Amino acid sequence: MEEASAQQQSSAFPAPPFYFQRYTTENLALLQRAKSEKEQSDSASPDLAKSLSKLPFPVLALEPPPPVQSGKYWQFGRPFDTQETLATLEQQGCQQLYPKGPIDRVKELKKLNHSAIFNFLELVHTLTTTPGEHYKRVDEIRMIFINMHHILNEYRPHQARETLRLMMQNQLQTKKQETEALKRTCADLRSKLSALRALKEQRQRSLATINSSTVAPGDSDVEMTSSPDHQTQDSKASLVGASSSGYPGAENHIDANSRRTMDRLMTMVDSIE
Amino acid sequence: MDRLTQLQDAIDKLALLFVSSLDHLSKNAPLVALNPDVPVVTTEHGMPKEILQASAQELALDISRQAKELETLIENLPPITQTPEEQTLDLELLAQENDRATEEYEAAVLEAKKLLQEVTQALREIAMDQSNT
Repeated sequence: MEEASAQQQSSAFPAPPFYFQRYTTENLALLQRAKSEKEQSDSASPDLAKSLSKLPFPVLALEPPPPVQSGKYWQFGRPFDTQETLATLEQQGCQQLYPKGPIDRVKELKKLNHSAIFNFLELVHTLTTTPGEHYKRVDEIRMIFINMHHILNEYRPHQARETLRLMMQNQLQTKKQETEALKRTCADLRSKLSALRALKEQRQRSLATINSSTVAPGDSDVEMTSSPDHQTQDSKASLVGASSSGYPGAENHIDANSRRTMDRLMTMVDSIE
Repeated sequence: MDRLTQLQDAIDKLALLFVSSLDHLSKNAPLVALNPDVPVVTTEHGMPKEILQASAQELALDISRQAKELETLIENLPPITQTPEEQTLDLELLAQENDRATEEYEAAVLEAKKLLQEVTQALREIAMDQSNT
């Protein structure tokens, strides 16, 4: 059965692996019971143990296998490594022209560059003298180019990690900036809100004092009682943006303040949204 | 563009120049008598000698220019300053910092939302006041 499945894995439409036959409803129910039994107590009940032993495979094999941590794994019939490493030149079957171990990449690349040109010159010479022997030079040039490309390929993992690091630094910076901006706007808004609340209490207190103070009869009465209305009207008028009607002294000052507060409040709310 | 890719392209271009120059020379060369008894008869093959020599000069110039370009590119390669282990360590530290910054950011967003609610509440009160009088 294993061999048949190995053959099928390389065909274009492979059949599903034979494991699918194990997933019957009864087996799945058994799996659930086994799992719950394991959580409650270590020993399984006798009838469960009997039905478990009837299965040709351990019941926990119905769970998906854990991911492969190390080494090789096979996918669709081909091997994959868990660690992607660049194959060295010897593994690829090419001679390594630059010395082994840590090297000065720039110097080695320059040397290879010069030897490439030199070998081309020698190639042209051999073509003029003994064209039959050109293949030696051609191979040499090929080797040089392969070496150059290999040195460059060794840079790539380093470059990938560097790019990742830079991206993460950028993300960090943006997040910090955004947090700062948010905190500043919140602090501003809070101060404005407290100013508004103070204003409201002031108004309520002045309302209370006006209502409780002894009033002169007649027009002054009307005047007095209408002033708190005017005050509230003015603060609402400033909210809408209209100018207040001419009013003496302190009330004007309070209303101008409240108008400014309201305007700034509206802009803050817009910026948050 | 990416420096490594530029380098790789330059190397490939050099190889292409090698091939194309040899190709050009061998295809367009005029006929030459191998044996003095067998003279050259046709003159309709390839290009005359002078033009060919001029083009050979041009090709040599191209190849040397490309080699010089390659050398400049090699010199501009950034050095490898950190080993892979150091790099992975840096990445882990950065990841932790990133997580912390995200938490702070989300906390700030929550606070801003609460504040927004309070402010809309205050505005609603003012509007109600206004409509009442």
